[in-house]
Amino acid sequence: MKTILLIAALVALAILALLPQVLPTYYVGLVIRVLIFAIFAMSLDLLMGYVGLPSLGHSAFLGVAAYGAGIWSVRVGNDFLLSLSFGLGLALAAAAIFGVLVLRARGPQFLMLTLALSQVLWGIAFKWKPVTGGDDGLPGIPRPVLGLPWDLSGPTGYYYFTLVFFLAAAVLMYLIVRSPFGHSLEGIRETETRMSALGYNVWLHQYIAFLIAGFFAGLAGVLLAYYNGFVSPTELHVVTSAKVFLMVVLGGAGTLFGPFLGAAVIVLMENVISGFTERWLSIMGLLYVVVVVFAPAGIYGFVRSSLRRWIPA
Amino acid sequence: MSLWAIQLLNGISFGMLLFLLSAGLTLTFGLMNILNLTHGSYYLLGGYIGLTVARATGNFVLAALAGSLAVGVIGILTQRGLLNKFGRDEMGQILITFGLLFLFGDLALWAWGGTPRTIPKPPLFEGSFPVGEVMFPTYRLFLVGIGAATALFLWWFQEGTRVGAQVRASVDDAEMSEGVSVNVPLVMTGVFALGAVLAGAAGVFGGPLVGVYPGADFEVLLLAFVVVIVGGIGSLKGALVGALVVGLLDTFGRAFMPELSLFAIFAPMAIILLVRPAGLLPRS
Amino acid sequence: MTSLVVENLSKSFGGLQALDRVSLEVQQGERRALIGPNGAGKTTLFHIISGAVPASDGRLYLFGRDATNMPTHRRAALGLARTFQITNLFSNLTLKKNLLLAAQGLDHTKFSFLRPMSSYGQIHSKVDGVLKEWDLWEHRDTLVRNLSHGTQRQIEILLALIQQPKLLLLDEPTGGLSPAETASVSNIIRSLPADISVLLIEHDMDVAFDLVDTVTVLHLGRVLADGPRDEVRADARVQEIYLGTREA
Repeated sequence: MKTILLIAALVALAILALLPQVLPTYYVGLVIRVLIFAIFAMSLDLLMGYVGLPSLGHSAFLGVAAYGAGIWSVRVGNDFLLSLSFGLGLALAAAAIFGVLVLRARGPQFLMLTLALSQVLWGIAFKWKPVTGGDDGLPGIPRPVLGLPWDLSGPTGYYYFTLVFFLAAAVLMYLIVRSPFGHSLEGIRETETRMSALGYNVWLHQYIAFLIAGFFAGLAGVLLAYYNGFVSPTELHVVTSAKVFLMVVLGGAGTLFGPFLGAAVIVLMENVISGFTERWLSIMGLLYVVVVVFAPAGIYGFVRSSLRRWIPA
Repeated sequence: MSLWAIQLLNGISFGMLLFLLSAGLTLTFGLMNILNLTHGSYYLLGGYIGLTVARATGNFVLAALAGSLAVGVIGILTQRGLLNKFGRDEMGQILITFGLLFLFGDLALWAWGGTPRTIPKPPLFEGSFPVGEVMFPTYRLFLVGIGAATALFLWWFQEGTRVGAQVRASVDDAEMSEGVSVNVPLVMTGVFALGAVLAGAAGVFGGPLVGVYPGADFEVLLLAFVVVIVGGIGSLKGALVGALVVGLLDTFGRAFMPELSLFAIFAPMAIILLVRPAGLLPRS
Repeated sequence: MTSLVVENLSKSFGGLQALDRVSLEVQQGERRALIGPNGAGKTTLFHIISGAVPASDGRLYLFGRDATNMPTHRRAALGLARTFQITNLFSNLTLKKNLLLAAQGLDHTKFSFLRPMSSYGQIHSKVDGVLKEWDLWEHRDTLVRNLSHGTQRQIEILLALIQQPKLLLLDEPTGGLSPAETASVSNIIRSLPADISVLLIEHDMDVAFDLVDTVTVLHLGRVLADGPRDEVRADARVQEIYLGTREA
């Protein structure tokens, strides 16, 4: 079984590597967005699927990092390492603060808090014109100049740039969920009281998971800011949190790979549907209801249970 | 001096509107264990439907009735059709109510367009009366009255009536209640509808004050959340106190530091969480 | 060395006094039963000893240390383990994963982020050994929620034992079990290493008195009787409560 997975992974890797050579530039851009949102969705899965904390405000970390990197590269200087660090630093700071507040709550309070906190950040970005550009957004973010013979200004160059980060993030997150720490998160999701009784400092594990999730969401934010060339308050809005939440649920929470699929489906769907109607948000809302009625375990769960029926283990 | 008095009155009247809005949210959770994220949409749709009826008939009372009842119906359909069947667990509830929030918001944008609108005040409350050197709108006083009346009604309903007792019994122990012939499903739908009606009414009453516009659903949802977190979820008293606190802080925040006014809301929320996580007046 | 000292512990929930100045002691290696009618406060006492619920008044000492305000996971590190009255396992995880989590709880490797769980041979062989010893090897990859109730109650105890505790709190370990399963669990308890102290809540009097040396009787939140098993069994007041509330 493991060898099949390994071969499948290598094939997928080969496909991803060759895509820009065969696809028109427009679609390459689309795949870049898929990869960015896949990182974003997988980071939320760590929190939702593995720890069992369904956050409705994950856009906070994406947006804060996007603004951080954007503001640095436009106002201070186009130094990739510095702006990346600044963006990630802001995301970690936000996660550090939010984590303390949010982990004091469970159930409905947790949901309300995560949503409220990210909305407050949106409001600040929306109104704080001198710093964030307000509702006009922050335009003119240049592509990073790496000082290497690698031109990031075009889609192909940026594609490979994003691919490298995607692979690194995916591998790291995969290792984390397979590690003893990752397993402890699953235990916490199942029953916190038992984990405490067994000697685990539940709060600490949850907090660390929050920081990790915020970090990777921040990474996605930085990549998005550079790809789009601008940052708008939308990156912090509930809509973005809702989109990534749906990606995780649609793909299948707690599987890492599921959210990757979910990201691909949603990004592609939004792109296609926005081509002939303005009602994408209505459809997104409907998708939520469809998922809960027809496929609560997401695409991943659906495929897996179908496979079980056809191929009894 | 009168500047402070005005802001105080503004804050209280806004707080009353928030109470109307948040009461439904906290009731639904307190009595049914459902956190209804669609609540923001109820406010929005109530406002828009009220607006349409007001423009068609020129009658504010009709608009208020139409807005609240229509939203009540939507609430009943949602609860009976979706939440009852698929919203048994937390995730199901989140998915349904969150999804509907976006669906309704977008449909409202489609139906009524993107321009912000206002509902005309009822003629009776169009004027203003002097407070010191400044004129204070009578409509805001009307809001205070509505809020107080609603609070009293809800309190009486919850504590003083047989129906209220039935509701409490159904929540505490559905099985037992059914045994003593309380129609639990009916009670649940009723509570849910009441929450929706209150939010829809808030949408209409808020129309002359803050207007009806796309995005209002998210804004009021945030405010309702803060009210409930500060006041204590599931508690009507908490909702009232929380609403007044948030109303005053928001008003003063906008008056004195408009760009960072959201901090004025964020701060009490954070403080409550750190100091009294269950809220100011949690239900026992 | 005294494993547990409970000193004038009281607990009230709003107006309800669940525990009223309860005191008891458990010595190293002692087997003590905690009995009493429903609502006497037994599980509440367990929750306070394990740290799940704070006491309203009084103190509690674990292995000589004041643990009254210690968080649960620190008490586990001192050597306390417990089972739960309502089965509290990692339902959606495999049996093996359940045991791995339990084995890792007090191990610093639980903070390893990047090395895969599978590479920690020591913990794996320990868990494999336990699975085989307890005749559960065939179920190792089964999701715990798919195992029988009896097996789940067994695993309840197993998870606590893997911690290698010095004091074990057993909350109605034979709850809902058939006579055969009850006998099996009784055997497990009887054959626990002699240096482990055990405090056992049990509804079945025959099972309880068979397994312990000493008994504490709780009634309406107070200690009614406390002493060697036979003494307590012969106590007229104890017999009165049980005759009055004996279930079929």
